Amino acid sequence: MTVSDEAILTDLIGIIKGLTDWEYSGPITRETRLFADLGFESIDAVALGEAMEAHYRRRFPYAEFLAGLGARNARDLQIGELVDFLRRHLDGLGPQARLEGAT
Amino acid sequence: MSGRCLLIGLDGGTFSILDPLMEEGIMPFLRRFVEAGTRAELRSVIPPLTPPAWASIMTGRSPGNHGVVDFFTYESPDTRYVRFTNSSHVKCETVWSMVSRHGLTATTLNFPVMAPPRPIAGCVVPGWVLWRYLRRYCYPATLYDRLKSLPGFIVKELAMNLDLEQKDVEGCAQEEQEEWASFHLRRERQWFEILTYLMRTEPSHLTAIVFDGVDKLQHLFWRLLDPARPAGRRSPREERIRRLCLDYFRQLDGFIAEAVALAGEDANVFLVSDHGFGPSDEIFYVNTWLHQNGYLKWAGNGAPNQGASGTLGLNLGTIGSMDRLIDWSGTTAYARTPSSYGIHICVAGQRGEEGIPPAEYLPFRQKLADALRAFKDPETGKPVVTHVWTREEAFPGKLTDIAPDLTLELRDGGAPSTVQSDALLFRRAEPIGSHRPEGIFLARGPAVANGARLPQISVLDVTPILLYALGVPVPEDLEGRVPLDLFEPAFVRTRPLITGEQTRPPEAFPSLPSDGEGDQAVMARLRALGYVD
Repeated sequence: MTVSDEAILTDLIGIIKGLTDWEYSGPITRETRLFADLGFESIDAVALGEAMEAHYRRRFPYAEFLAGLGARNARDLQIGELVDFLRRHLDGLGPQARLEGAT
Repeated sequence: MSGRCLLIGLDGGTFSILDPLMEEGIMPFLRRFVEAGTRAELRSVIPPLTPPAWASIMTGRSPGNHGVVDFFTYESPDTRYVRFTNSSHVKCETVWSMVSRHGLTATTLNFPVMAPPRPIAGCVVPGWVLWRYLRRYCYPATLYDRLKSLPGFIVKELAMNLDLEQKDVEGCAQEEQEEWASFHLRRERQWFEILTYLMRTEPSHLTAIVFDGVDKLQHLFWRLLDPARPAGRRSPREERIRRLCLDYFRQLDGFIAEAVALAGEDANVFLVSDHGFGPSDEIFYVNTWLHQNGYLKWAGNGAPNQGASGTLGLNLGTIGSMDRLIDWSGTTAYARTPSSYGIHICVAGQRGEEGIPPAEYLPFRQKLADALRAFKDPETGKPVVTHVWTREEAFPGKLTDIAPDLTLELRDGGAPSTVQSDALLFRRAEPIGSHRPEGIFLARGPAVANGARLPQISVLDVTPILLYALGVPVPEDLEGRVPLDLFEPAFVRTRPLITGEQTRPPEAFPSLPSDGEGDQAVMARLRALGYVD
C-alpha cells in the first residue's frame, strides 16, 4: 500500500495547524518553510515530531532525520521534505497506519 | 472508598533546607503540619533525577520498568539518536489512571512526562510543556480556556520556557538573578490559582500538584539558602536574592496551608519530593576523561570548547550536536547528557555500526567501571567517582536496555559535564545545588499517625500509599509497599490492605482530546478504556 503525497500533505497541514496558534495565515504548501515562513523555533520542530507520531500512532526516526539536516547545515525545512520523510516511513504499512491516526 | 487525598510535590524538597525554615518561622504551617503528622526520608531512584523520580512516584514502578531514565530517551532500539521523554515513553499505568478505573476522580497539575495527556476521570495540566503547547496538552480539551480566565494567568510564565529553565544549572547572569527568583514567586502563584480553582469547582478524590520552584531556586541559590554556609560574606545583591528566596518559601507555606484547608478535615495530605538536594562545588568533564583514556574520539581537531568552560552541557544545542562532535569510528564509550549521570558503551551492530564486539561487552564495561573508580583528583589523590552502577543494578526491569550502560555518582553529588574541556576537573567559585537521593515525605490527616517519624521509605511507595488511603486495591505488580505504621492503628484495623489485579499498560500513544469534545464524549472515551462503569 502506498500512501499518496496529497493525503500526507493534508494530514501534515492539519497536524501543524493543531499544534498551536500560528501567526502565519497564508496557505501551507510543499514549498512552505517551517522556520522562515511558519516561524518555527527548534523546539517547535521537536513538538511537531511528537504530534506526527501521536497522529499516526507510530514512531518515526525523526531525531535521526533532524540530525541529518544539522549535519548538512540545512537552515530550514520545507513541508515537502517532511512529506517525503513521512511517505518513506508510511509506505508499505498499509491503510491501518493512516486509519489509526485519523481523528 | 474513603476521604480525599491531596498530594503536594515539592520538586527537590529537602529537610536540610526545610527544617531550618520551619525553625526560623519562615514556614510556620509546615512546622505545625509536621508536628501533627508523620515524616520520613523519601529515597529517590538512581540517579536522583526529576523525570524518572516523578514517574516512579506516580506509577509505583522503577525506571527500568516505567521506561523513563532521563529527560531524553533513545528514538528507537537500534539508533543512538535521542529525543525528549514524554508521556508516550511511560510504559506503566499512572496512579491517576488507577483511581479513575475505580470510579474516583483525579486532578494532576505540573507533573513531568504527562504530555501529551492520557485520558483520566479528571483534569490534567502537565508540567514541562512549552507555553505554546499548553492549550493542546491540557485535559480535557476545554480546560485551558477556563484556566486562562483566572486572575493573573500568563501562560508564558506558567509553562516552560527552555531558555529560562537552563539558568538554574548552567548559570544566570548576576543582573538577572533577582528577576529569576521573583519569576518563581509569580509562576508558583499561577499554579496555586489553578489548584484552588479546580479544588473549588471540580473537587477530585485525588488532587496532586508539583511546585518546582523549590528545585530551581536551590540549584542556583544553594549558597544563599544552605544554613551551613556563613552569612557574613553575602553582598547586598545576594542579601536581596536571599530575601526573595525566603519570600518564595514563605509564600509556598501559605499556599500549602490554603490547599490543606480547602481539601477539608477529612482529607489525608501527603507532601513528597522527587529527590533531595545538596551542594556541588566542582565539575567532572566525563567525556574529556573518556577521550584522554582512549574511549572517545572527538570529530575534527578535537579542540576544547572554550566557550563551554564551567558548564555541564545541558543546553539542547550541545545534546543535539553530540552526534557530530564525536568521531564514532574511534569511540567506544561516551556520555550523552549530564542529567543521566550515565555513560553509553558503543557495541558494534547496536545503535550504529561502530563499537566493541558484542562478546567483549561485559569485560569492557567492567574495565571501564574500574578505571572510573580508580580516577583520582590529581591535587588531592582522592577518588572523584564514588559509585558506578551497571544498568542491571541501576535499572532492573523490562526496559533495562534503554538506560546508560554505567551510571555514576560523583563525590560532590553533582552531574558530570559532557562538553569538551582541556581539564578534567573544574572547581566552582561558589557551590551550586545539585540533586541527592534523600527527599522528603510528610503526611497528615485523619488516617495518618500523629507525630510519627518513620524509617526511610521509597518514591515507589507513594502510589501504594495513595491507593490505600483512598480505599483502592493496590495492584499486585506495584514495586512499592504501604508502610502501615504511617497510618493510625484504628484506620489500619478497619481498612485491611487489599491487593488488586495487575495494572493496565497504557496505550502506546496517548489519544489527544479534540477541541470541543464535550463531557459526554469524554465519559464515553473513559468507558471505552475501562476507566468508568
